[in-house]
Amino acid sequence: MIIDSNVLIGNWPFRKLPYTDASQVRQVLAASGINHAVAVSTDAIFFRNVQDGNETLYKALAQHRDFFTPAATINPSYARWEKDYEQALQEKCAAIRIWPEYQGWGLLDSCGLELCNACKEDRLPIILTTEVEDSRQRHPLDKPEDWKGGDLKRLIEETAGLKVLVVNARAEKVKELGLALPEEDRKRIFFDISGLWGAFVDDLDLCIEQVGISQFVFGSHAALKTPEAAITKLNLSKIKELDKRKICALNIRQLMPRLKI
Amino acid sequence: MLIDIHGNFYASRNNMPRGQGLNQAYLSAARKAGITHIVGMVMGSWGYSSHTYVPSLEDMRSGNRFLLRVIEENRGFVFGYAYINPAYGDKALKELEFCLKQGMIGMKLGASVRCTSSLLDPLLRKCIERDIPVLHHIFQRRTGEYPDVALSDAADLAKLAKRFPEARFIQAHIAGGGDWQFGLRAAADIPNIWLDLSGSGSDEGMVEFALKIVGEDRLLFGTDLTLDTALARLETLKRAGANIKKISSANAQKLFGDRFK
Repeated sequence: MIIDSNVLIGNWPFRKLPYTDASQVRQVLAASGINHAVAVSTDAIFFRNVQDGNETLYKALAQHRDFFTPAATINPSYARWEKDYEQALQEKCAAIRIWPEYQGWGLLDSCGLELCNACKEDRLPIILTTEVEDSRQRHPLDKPEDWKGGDLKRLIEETAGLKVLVVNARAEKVKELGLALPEEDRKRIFFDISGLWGAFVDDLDLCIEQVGISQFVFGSHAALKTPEAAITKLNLSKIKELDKRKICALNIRQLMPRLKI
Repeated sequence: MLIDIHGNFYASRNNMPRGQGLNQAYLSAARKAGITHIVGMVMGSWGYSSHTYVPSLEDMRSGNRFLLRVIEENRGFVFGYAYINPAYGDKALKELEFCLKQGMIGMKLGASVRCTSSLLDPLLRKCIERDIPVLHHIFQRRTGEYPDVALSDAADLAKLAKRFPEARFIQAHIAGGGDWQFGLRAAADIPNIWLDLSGSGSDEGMVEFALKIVGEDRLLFGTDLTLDTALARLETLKRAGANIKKISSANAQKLFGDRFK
Protein backbone atom coordinates (compact mmCIF):
# COMPACT_ATOMS: atom_id res chain seq x y z
CA MET A 1 0.00 0.00 0.00
CA ILE A 2 1.39 3.37 -1.04
CA ILE A 3 -0.30 6.59 0.04
CA ASP A 4 0.93 9.69 -1.74
CA SER A 5 0.87 12.76 0.51
CA ASN A 6 1.81 15.27 -2.17
CA VAL A 7 -0.29 15.44 -5.33
CA LEU A 8 -1.35 18.58 -7.18
CA ILE A 9 -4.25 18.58 -9.63
CA GLY A 10 -4.86 21.38 -12.09
CA ASN A 11 -2.92 23.84 -14.18
CA TRP A 12 0.50 25.31 -13.46
CA PRO A 13 0.70 28.69 -15.19
CA PHE A 14 4.34 28.52 -16.23
CA ARG A 15 4.45 25.31 -18.23
CA LYS A 16 2.02 22.87 -19.75
CA LEU A 17 1.48 19.74 -17.68
CA PRO A 18 0.72 16.58 -19.66
CA TYR A 19 -2.26 15.67 -17.49
CA THR A 20 -4.39 17.98 -15.37
CA ASP A 21 -7.64 16.27 -14.51
CA ALA A 22 -8.33 13.85 -11.69
CA SER A 23 -8.96 10.81 -13.92
CA GLN A 24 -5.65 11.21 -15.74
CA VAL A 25 -3.70 11.86 -12.54
CA ARG A 26 -5.28 8.80 -10.97
CA GLN A 27 -4.38 6.66 -13.96
CA VAL A 28 -0.71 7.70 -13.92
CA LEU A 29 -0.36 7.33 -10.13
CA ALA A 30 -2.08 3.94 -10.11
CA ALA A 31 0.13 2.70 -12.96
CA SER A 32 3.13 3.49 -10.75
CA GLY A 33 1.70 1.44 -7.89
CA ILE A 34 0.24 4.26 -5.80
CA ASN A 35 -2.99 3.25 -4.07
CA HIS A 36 -4.26 6.50 -2.59
CA ALA A 37 -3.34 10.17 -2.73
CA VAL A 38 -3.92 13.41 -0.84
CA ALA A 39 -4.53 16.00 -3.53
CA VAL A 40 -4.66 19.78 -3.63
CA SER A 41 -5.70 22.25 -6.31
CA THR A 42 -2.74 23.60 -8.30
CA ASP A 43 -4.85 26.51 -9.59
CA ALA A 44 -5.60 27.69 -6.07
CA ILE A 45 -1.97 28.72 -5.52
CA PHE A 46 -2.46 31.73 -7.79
CA PHE A 47 -6.16 32.46 -7.31
CA ARG A 48 -6.91 35.51 -5.20
CA ASN A 49 -9.96 33.62 -3.99
CA VAL A 50 -8.45 30.20 -3.32
CA GLN A 51 -11.88 28.77 -2.60
CA ASP A 52 -12.61 28.71 -6.34
CA GLY A 53 -9.76 26.21 -6.65
CA ASN A 54 -11.00 24.18 -3.69
CA GLU A 55 -14.53 23.95 -5.06
CA THR A 56 -13.25 22.80 -8.46
CA LEU A 57 -11.11 20.20 -6.70
CA TYR A 58 -13.97 18.88 -4.54
CA LYS A 59 -16.13 18.51 -7.64
CA ALA A 60 -13.35 16.82 -9.62
CA LEU A 61 -12.63 14.35 -6.83
CA ALA A 62 -16.28 13.49 -6.16
CA GLN A 63 -16.09 10.47 -8.49
CA HIS A 64 -12.71 9.42 -7.13
CA ARG A 65 -13.02 9.55 -3.38
CA ASP A 66 -11.96 5.90 -3.20
CA PHE A 67 -8.56 7.03 -4.54
CA PHE A 68 -8.19 10.69 -3.57
CA THR A 69 -8.66 12.59 -0.33
CA PRO A 70 -8.63 16.36 -0.75
CA ALA A 71 -6.37 18.83 1.02
CA ALA A 72 -7.90 22.30 1.06
CA THR A 73 -5.94 25.42 0.22
CA ILE A 74 -6.55 28.14 2.81
CA ASN A 75 -5.38 31.74 2.59
CA PRO A 76 -5.93 33.14 6.08
CA SER A 77 -5.22 36.69 4.95
CA TYR A 78 -8.32 36.69 2.74
CA ALA A 79 -11.81 37.75 3.81
CA ARG A 80 -14.09 34.99 5.09
CA TRP A 81 -11.37 32.31 5.04
CA GLU A 82 -13.03 30.73 8.07
CA LYS A 83 -15.92 29.62 5.83
CA ASP A 84 -13.46 27.95 3.43
CA TYR A 85 -11.97 26.17 6.41
CA GLU A 86 -15.39 25.01 7.60
CA GLN A 87 -16.13 23.62 4.18
CA ALA A 88 -12.78 21.81 4.21
CA LEU A 89 -13.94 20.02 7.35
CA GLN A 90 -17.28 19.16 5.74
CA GLU A 91 -15.48 17.82 2.67
CA LYS A 92 -13.44 15.57 4.95
CA CYS A 93 -10.10 17.04 3.92
CA ALA A 94 -7.12 15.27 5.45
CA ALA A 95 -4.88 18.34 5.58
CA ILE A 96 -4.71 22.07 4.94
CA ARG A 97 -2.18 23.18 2.35
CA ILE A 98 -0.88 26.72 2.66
CA TRP A 99 1.22 28.88 0.35
CA PRO A 100 2.35 31.91 2.36
CA GLU A 101 5.33 32.44 0.01
CA TYR A 102 2.95 32.97 -2.90
CA GLN A 103 0.09 34.70 -1.12
CA GLY A 104 1.73 37.54 0.76
CA TRP A 105 1.34 36.55 4.41
CA GLY A 106 3.62 35.06 7.05
CA LEU A 107 3.36 31.97 9.22
CA LEU A 108 3.82 34.10 12.32
CA ASP A 109 1.30 36.78 11.27
CA SER A 110 -1.80 36.80 13.45
CA CYS A 111 -3.89 35.31 10.61
CA GLY A 112 -1.34 32.51 10.13
CA LEU A 113 -1.34 31.70 13.84
CA GLU A 114 -5.13 31.74 13.91
CA LEU A 115 -5.33 29.21 11.08
CA CYS A 116 -2.64 26.99 12.60
CA ASN A 117 -4.39 26.99 15.97
CA ALA A 118 -7.64 25.95 14.29
CA CYS A 119 -5.79 23.14 12.48
CA LYS A 120 -4.27 21.99 15.75
CA GLU A 121 -7.71 21.87 17.42
CA ASP A 122 -9.18 19.90 14.53
CA ARG A 123 -6.19 17.52 14.16
CA LEU A 124 -5.53 18.73 10.64
CA PRO A 125 -1.86 18.97 9.65
CA ILE A 126 -0.67 21.86 7.54
CA ILE A 127 1.34 21.20 4.39
CA LEU A 128 4.09 23.58 3.30
CA THR A 129 6.03 23.38 0.04
CA THR A 130 9.67 24.46 -0.01
CA GLU A 131 9.56 25.07 -3.75
CA VAL A 132 6.97 24.19 -6.35
CA GLU A 133 9.48 24.22 -9.21
CA ASP A 134 13.26 24.06 -9.17
CA SER A 135 14.38 27.65 -8.58
CA ARG A 136 16.88 27.40 -11.46
CA GLN A 137 14.15 27.13 -14.07
CA ARG A 138 11.52 29.54 -12.79
CA HIS A 139 9.58 31.83 -15.09
CA PRO A 140 10.43 35.52 -14.45
CA LEU A 141 6.94 36.00 -12.99
CA ASP A 142 7.21 33.00 -10.65
CA LYS A 143 8.61 34.89 -7.66
CA PRO A 144 7.67 33.33 -4.33
CA GLU A 145 9.07 34.81 -1.14
CA ASP A 146 12.14 33.03 0.19
CA TRP A 147 11.52 29.92 2.27
CA LYS A 148 11.51 30.86 5.97
CA GLY A 149 12.60 27.78 7.88
CA GLY A 150 13.19 29.87 11.01
CA ASP A 151 9.55 31.01 11.09
CA LEU A 152 8.37 27.42 10.71
CA LYS A 153 10.63 26.25 13.52
CA ARG A 154 9.19 28.97 15.78
CA LEU A 155 5.62 28.15 14.74
CA ILE A 156 6.10 24.49 15.65
CA GLU A 157 7.75 25.34 18.97
CA GLU A 158 5.02 27.81 19.91
CA THR A 159 1.99 25.82 18.70
CA ALA A 160 2.04 22.66 20.75
CA GLY A 161 0.08 19.91 19.09
CA LEU A 162 0.25 21.29 15.53
CA LYS A 163 1.57 18.81 12.96
CA VAL A 164 3.35 19.98 9.83
CA LEU A 165 4.28 18.24 6.59
CA VAL A 166 7.05 19.85 4.55
CA VAL A 167 7.12 18.68 0.94
CA ASN A 168 9.61 18.73 -1.91
CA ALA A 169 12.41 19.74 0.47
CA ARG A 170 16.04 19.05 -0.35
CA ALA A 171 18.33 17.41 2.17
CA GLU A 172 19.73 20.61 3.63
CA LYS A 173 16.26 21.92 4.50
CA VAL A 174 15.18 18.58 5.96
CA LYS A 175 18.25 18.53 8.19
CA GLU A 176 17.93 22.22 9.05
CA LEU A 177 14.42 21.70 10.40
CA GLY A 178 14.65 18.12 11.53
CA LEU A 179 17.78 18.61 13.57
CA ALA A 180 17.18 22.16 14.81
CA LEU A 181 13.97 21.30 16.65
CA PRO A 182 14.03 19.86 20.16
CA GLU A 183 13.27 16.12 20.12
CA GLU A 184 9.69 16.49 21.41
CA ASP A 185 8.84 19.07 18.76
CA ARG A 186 10.61 17.11 16.05
CA LYS A 187 7.94 14.43 16.33
CA ARG A 188 5.44 16.94 14.91
CA ILE A 189 7.28 17.72 11.69
CA PHE A 190 7.17 15.33 8.75
CA PHE A 191 8.82 15.36 5.34
CA ASP A 192 7.85 13.77 2.06
CA ILE A 193 10.55 12.11 -0.03
CA SER A 194 9.95 13.93 -3.32
CA GLY A 195 12.78 16.47 -3.00
CA LEU A 196 15.50 14.17 -1.69
CA TRP A 197 18.21 12.64 -3.85
CA GLY A 198 18.33 8.86 -3.81
CA ALA A 199 21.06 6.38 -4.75
CA PHE A 200 23.98 6.65 -4.80
CA VAL A 201 24.32 10.02 -3.07
CA ASP A 202 21.74 8.59 -0.66
CA ASP A 203 20.32 11.83 0.77
CA LEU A 204 17.09 9.97 1.51
CA ASP A 205 18.85 7.29 3.56
CA LEU A 206 21.07 9.82 5.33
CA CYS A 207 18.17 12.13 6.25
CA ILE A 208 16.19 9.20 7.63
CA GLU A 209 19.21 8.08 9.63
CA GLN A 210 19.64 11.55 11.13
CA VAL A 211 16.05 12.74 11.57
CA GLY A 212 14.28 9.44 12.22
CA ILE A 213 12.16 7.10 10.12
CA SER A 214 8.91 8.14 11.82
CA GLN A 215 9.10 11.61 10.27
CA PHE A 216 9.01 10.57 6.59
CA VAL A 217 6.06 9.91 4.30
CA PHE A 218 5.75 9.03 0.66
CA GLY A 219 5.16 11.98 -1.67
CA SER A 220 5.60 12.31 -5.43
CA HIS A 221 4.83 15.99 -6.11
CA ALA A 222 2.85 14.78 -9.13
CA ALA A 223 1.60 16.14 -11.48
CA LEU A 224 4.55 18.56 -11.53
CA LYS A 225 6.99 15.70 -11.05
CA THR A 226 6.75 12.13 -12.30
CA PRO A 227 5.57 9.54 -9.75
CA GLU A 228 8.20 7.13 -11.12
CA ALA A 229 10.93 9.29 -9.51
CA ALA A 230 9.67 8.81 -5.94
CA ILE A 231 8.93 5.13 -6.47
CA THR A 232 12.37 4.43 -7.95
CA LYS A 233 14.10 6.39 -5.19
CA LEU A 234 12.42 4.24 -2.59
CA ASN A 235 13.13 1.01 -4.46
CA LEU A 236 16.84 1.83 -4.71
CA SER A 237 17.17 2.89 -1.10
CA LYS A 238 18.83 0.68 1.50
CA ILE A 239 15.93 1.20 3.92
CA LYS A 240 14.56 -2.00 5.43
CA GLU A 241 11.22 -3.32 4.13
CA LEU A 242 9.41 -2.53 7.39
CA ASP A 243 10.68 1.03 7.28
CA LYS A 244 9.55 1.34 3.67
CA ARG A 245 6.08 0.38 4.83
CA LYS A 246 6.26 3.12 7.43
CA ILE A 247 7.11 5.65 4.74
CA CYS A 248 4.54 4.37 2.29
CA ALA A 249 1.51 3.98 4.50
CA LEU A 250 1.98 3.87 8.27
CA ASN A 251 3.50 7.24 9.16
CA ILE A 252 0.92 9.23 7.24
CA ARG A 253 -1.81 7.82 9.48
CA GLN A 254 -0.05 9.41 12.45
CA LEU A 255 0.29 12.67 10.57
CA MET A 256 -3.23 12.77 9.12
CA PRO A 257 -5.64 11.14 11.57
CA ARG A 258 -8.59 12.30 9.47
CA LEU A 259 -7.39 10.29 6.48
CA LYS A 260 -9.83 7.39 6.16
CA ILE A 261 -8.76 4.60 3.83
CA MET B 1 22.83 -2.95 -22.54
CA LEU B 2 22.52 0.27 -20.52
CA ILE B 3 25.15 2.95 -21.16
CA ASP B 4 25.53 5.81 -18.69
CA ILE B 5 27.14 8.61 -20.68
CA HIS B 6 27.41 10.98 -17.69
CA GLY B 7 29.24 9.41 -14.77
CA ASN B 8 31.30 11.21 -12.14
CA PHE B 9 34.29 10.06 -10.14
CA TYR B 10 36.16 11.84 -7.37
CA ALA B 11 39.92 12.03 -6.99
CA SER B 12 41.61 11.67 -3.62
CA ARG B 13 41.37 15.40 -2.94
CA ASN B 14 37.81 16.58 -3.45
CA ASN B 15 35.23 18.79 -1.83
CA MET B 16 32.23 16.48 -2.02
CA PRO B 17 30.43 15.19 1.06
CA ARG B 18 31.48 11.54 1.49
CA GLY B 19 34.31 12.19 -0.96
CA GLN B 20 35.89 9.14 -2.51
CA GLY B 21 33.32 6.89 -0.89
CA LEU B 22 31.01 8.00 -3.66
CA ASN B 23 33.14 6.20 -6.27
CA GLN B 24 32.44 2.79 -4.82
CA ALA B 25 28.83 3.70 -4.03
CA TYR B 26 28.29 4.75 -7.63
CA LEU B 27 30.00 1.74 -9.19
CA SER B 28 28.17 -0.68 -6.98
CA ALA B 29 24.75 0.99 -7.39
CA ALA B 30 25.26 1.24 -11.15
CA ARG B 31 26.11 -2.46 -11.48
CA LYS B 32 23.13 -3.39 -9.32
CA ALA B 33 20.86 -1.23 -11.47
CA GLY B 34 21.95 -2.98 -14.65
CA ILE B 35 24.22 -0.31 -16.08
CA THR B 36 26.64 -2.12 -18.37
CA HIS B 37 28.98 0.73 -19.35
CA ILE B 38 29.89 4.09 -17.85
CA VAL B 39 31.52 7.00 -19.64
CA GLY B 40 32.74 9.12 -16.75
CA MET B 41 34.97 12.01 -15.79
CA VAL B 42 36.79 13.54 -12.84
CA MET B 43 36.06 17.24 -12.62
CA GLY B 44 39.40 18.27 -11.17
CA SER B 45 39.31 18.41 -7.38
CA TRP B 46 35.56 19.10 -7.20
CA GLY B 47 36.18 22.43 -5.52
CA TYR B 48 38.90 21.33 -3.10
CA SER B 49 41.76 23.32 -4.59
CA SER B 50 40.13 24.88 -7.67
CA HIS B 51 36.57 25.42 -8.89
CA THR B 52 34.76 22.29 -10.06
CA TYR B 53 33.96 23.90 -13.41
CA VAL B 54 37.22 25.86 -13.70
CA PRO B 55 39.94 23.38 -12.81
CA SER B 56 43.51 24.51 -12.32
CA LEU B 57 46.12 22.89 -14.57
CA GLU B 58 47.29 20.70 -11.70
CA ASP B 59 43.75 19.62 -10.75
CA MET B 60 42.84 18.97 -14.37
CA ARG B 61 45.88 16.73 -14.81
CA SER B 62 45.60 14.91 -11.49
CA GLY B 63 41.86 14.36 -11.98
CA ASN B 64 42.39 12.86 -15.42
CA ARG B 65 45.14 10.58 -14.11
CA PHE B 66 42.88 9.42 -11.31
CA LEU B 67 40.24 8.59 -13.91
CA LEU B 68 42.76 6.53 -15.88
CA ARG B 69 43.27 4.39 -12.77
CA VAL B 70 39.49 3.95 -12.36
CA ILE B 71 39.27 2.89 -16.02
CA GLU B 72 42.13 0.43 -15.53
CA GLU B 73 40.53 -1.05 -12.43
CA ASN B 74 37.18 -1.38 -14.19
CA ARG B 75 38.27 -2.26 -17.71
CA GLY B 76 35.34 -2.74 -20.07
CA PHE B 77 32.93 -1.16 -17.60
CA VAL B 78 34.28 2.38 -17.16
CA PHE B 79 35.36 4.61 -20.05
CA GLY B 80 36.53 8.19 -19.82
CA TYR B 81 36.17 11.77 -20.91
CA ALA B 82 39.26 13.96 -20.62
CA TYR B 83 38.24 16.94 -18.50
CA ILE B 84 39.81 19.99 -20.10
CA ASN B 85 40.08 23.68 -19.23
CA PRO B 86 40.52 25.43 -22.61
CA ALA B 87 42.01 28.52 -20.95
CA TYR B 88 45.34 26.65 -20.70
CA GLY B 89 45.80 26.80 -24.48
CA ASP B 90 48.61 24.53 -25.71
CA LYS B 91 48.86 22.83 -22.33
CA ALA B 92 45.15 21.98 -22.54
CA LEU B 93 45.61 20.52 -26.02
CA LYS B 94 48.59 18.45 -24.82
CA GLU B 95 46.50 17.17 -21.91
CA LEU B 96 43.71 16.17 -24.29
CA GLU B 97 46.20 14.40 -26.58
CA PHE B 98 47.71 12.59 -23.59
CA CYS B 99 44.30 11.40 -22.35
CA LEU B 100 43.22 10.20 -25.78
CA LYS B 101 46.49 8.34 -26.21
CA GLN B 102 45.76 6.60 -22.91
CA GLY B 103 42.41 5.46 -24.27
CA MET B 104 39.85 8.05 -23.22
CA ILE B 105 36.95 8.30 -25.64
CA GLY B 106 35.56 11.82 -25.22
CA MET B 107 36.26 15.33 -24.01
CA LYS B 108 34.34 17.05 -21.20
CA LEU B 109 34.19 20.83 -20.91
CA GLY B 110 32.96 22.68 -17.83
CA ALA B 111 32.55 26.42 -17.45
CA SER B 112 36.13 27.65 -17.62
CA VAL B 113 35.43 29.72 -20.73
CA ARG B 114 32.15 30.26 -22.54
CA CYS B 115 31.78 27.79 -25.38
CA THR B 116 31.59 30.58 -27.93
CA SER B 117 35.28 31.37 -27.21
CA SER B 118 37.86 30.64 -29.92
CA LEU B 119 39.99 29.01 -27.20
CA LEU B 120 37.94 25.90 -27.89
CA ASP B 121 38.88 25.73 -31.58
CA PRO B 122 42.12 23.68 -31.43
CA LEU B 123 40.54 21.27 -28.96
CA LEU B 124 37.52 20.75 -31.20
CA ARG B 125 39.70 20.23 -34.26
CA LYS B 126 41.48 17.48 -32.31
CA CYS B 127 38.14 15.88 -31.35
CA ILE B 128 37.05 15.91 -34.99
CA GLU B 129 40.38 14.43 -36.06
CA ARG B 130 40.09 11.68 -33.44
CA ASP B 131 36.35 11.24 -34.04
CA ILE B 132 35.29 11.63 -30.40
CA PRO B 133 32.27 13.43 -28.92
CA VAL B 134 32.36 16.44 -26.61
CA LEU B 135 30.20 16.51 -23.48
CA HIS B 136 29.61 20.13 -22.52
CA HIS B 137 28.37 21.29 -19.11
CA ILE B 138 25.29 23.39 -19.83
CA PHE B 139 23.04 25.54 -17.69
CA GLN B 140 20.02 25.21 -19.95
CA ARG B 141 19.10 28.89 -19.99
CA ARG B 142 21.46 31.52 -18.66
CA THR B 143 19.63 34.63 -17.50
CA GLY B 144 22.63 36.40 -16.04
CA GLU B 145 26.25 35.95 -15.07
CA TYR B 146 27.46 33.84 -12.15
CA PRO B 147 30.60 34.60 -10.15
CA ASP B 148 33.80 32.67 -10.90
CA VAL B 149 32.43 30.74 -13.89
CA ALA B 150 31.69 31.33 -17.56
CA LEU B 151 28.58 29.19 -17.89
CA SER B 152 27.39 28.30 -21.36
CA ASP B 153 23.75 27.74 -22.09
CA ALA B 154 21.99 25.73 -24.77
CA ALA B 155 21.87 28.67 -27.17
CA ASP B 156 25.65 29.12 -26.82
CA LEU B 157 26.21 25.43 -27.54
CA ALA B 158 23.96 25.62 -30.59
CA LYS B 159 26.14 28.43 -31.98
CA LEU B 160 29.26 26.35 -31.39
CA ALA B 161 27.72 23.26 -32.99
CA LYS B 162 26.80 25.27 -36.07
CA ARG B 163 30.36 26.60 -36.28
CA PHE B 164 31.77 23.04 -36.05
CA PRO B 165 29.25 20.91 -37.97
CA GLU B 166 31.68 17.97 -38.11
CA ALA B 167 32.01 17.83 -34.34
CA ARG B 168 29.56 15.85 -32.19
CA PHE B 169 28.32 17.47 -28.98
CA ILE B 170 26.44 16.17 -25.96
CA GLN B 171 24.40 18.83 -24.18
CA ALA B 172 24.77 17.91 -20.53
CA HIS B 173 22.02 17.08 -18.06
CA ILE B 174 18.75 18.30 -19.50
CA ALA B 175 17.24 17.49 -16.09
CA GLY B 176 20.09 19.08 -14.19
CA GLY B 177 18.59 22.46 -13.54
CA GLY B 178 17.57 25.38 -15.66
CA ASP B 179 14.80 25.74 -18.20
CA TRP B 180 14.83 22.37 -19.99
CA GLN B 181 12.23 23.50 -22.51
CA PHE B 182 14.62 26.24 -23.62
CA GLY B 183 17.48 23.73 -23.70
CA LEU B 184 15.57 21.24 -25.82
CA ARG B 185 14.24 23.89 -28.19
CA ALA B 186 17.73 25.34 -28.70
CA ALA B 187 19.10 21.92 -29.70
CA ALA B 188 16.09 20.67 -31.63
CA ASP B 189 17.25 21.71 -35.10
CA ILE B 190 20.98 21.14 -34.59
CA PRO B 191 21.74 17.61 -35.81
CA ASN B 192 25.20 17.39 -34.22
CA ILE B 193 23.91 17.92 -30.66
CA TRP B 194 22.78 14.90 -28.62
CA LEU B 195 20.82 15.42 -25.41
CA ASP B 196 21.97 13.89 -22.13
CA LEU B 197 18.87 13.11 -20.07
CA SER B 198 20.68 13.04 -16.73
CA GLY B 199 20.01 15.28 -13.74
CA SER B 200 18.19 15.36 -10.43
CA GLY B 201 15.02 16.89 -11.90
CA SER B 202 11.99 14.74 -12.63
CA ASP B 203 9.53 17.22 -14.07
CA GLU B 204 6.42 15.70 -15.57
CA GLY B 205 6.28 16.45 -19.28
CA MET B 206 10.05 16.65 -19.80
CA VAL B 207 10.49 13.37 -21.66
CA GLU B 208 7.35 13.90 -23.73
CA PHE B 209 8.66 17.30 -24.76
CA ALA B 210 12.10 15.86 -25.57
CA LEU B 211 10.56 13.12 -27.71
CA LYS B 212 8.31 15.59 -29.49
CA ILE B 213 10.85 18.28 -30.26
CA VAL B 214 14.18 16.39 -30.53
CA GLY B 215 13.08 12.83 -31.27
CA GLU B 216 14.36 9.57 -29.83
CA ASP B 217 17.46 9.29 -32.06
CA ARG B 218 19.42 11.98 -30.18
CA LEU B 219 18.46 11.23 -26.57
CA LEU B 220 21.01 9.56 -24.29
CA PHE B 221 20.71 7.86 -20.92
CA GLY B 222 22.89 9.42 -18.21
CA THR B 223 22.95 9.63 -14.43
CA ASP B 224 25.22 12.48 -13.30
CA LEU B 225 24.74 12.54 -9.50
CA THR B 226 21.35 10.88 -9.29
CA LEU B 227 20.88 7.30 -10.37
CA ASP B 228 17.31 7.27 -9.06
CA THR B 229 15.95 10.00 -11.31
CA ALA B 230 17.84 8.56 -14.30
CA LEU B 231 16.32 5.10 -13.89
CA ALA B 232 12.91 6.62 -13.18
CA ARG B 233 13.20 8.55 -16.43
CA LEU B 234 13.48 5.27 -18.33
CA GLU B 235 10.19 4.22 -16.75
CA THR B 236 8.61 7.53 -17.74
CA LEU B 237 9.95 7.09 -21.28
CA LYS B 238 8.31 3.66 -21.42
CA ARG B 239 5.05 5.28 -20.31
CA ALA B 240 5.49 7.80 -23.13
CA GLY B 241 5.95 4.97 -25.65
CA ALA B 242 9.61 5.72 -26.48
CA ASN B 243 12.06 3.27 -28.05
CA ILE B 244 14.01 2.49 -24.88
CA LYS B 245 16.73 0.51 -26.66
CA LYS B 246 17.76 3.56 -28.65
CA ILE B 247 17.92 5.80 -25.58
CA SER B 248 19.50 3.33 -23.22
CA SER B 249 22.25 2.10 -25.56
CA ALA B 250 21.89 2.25 -29.36
CA ASN B 251 22.25 6.02 -29.67
CA ALA B 252 25.34 6.02 -27.43
CA GLN B 253 26.89 3.12 -29.36
CA LYS B 254 26.47 5.07 -32.56
CA LEU B 255 27.77 8.29 -31.07
CA PHE B 256 30.87 6.69 -29.56
CA GLY B 257 31.59 4.48 -32.58
CA ASP B 258 30.49 1.05 -31.35
CA ARG B 259 33.08 0.94 -28.58
CA PHE B 260 30.92 -0.79 -26.02
CA LYS B 261 30.98 -4.60 -26.04
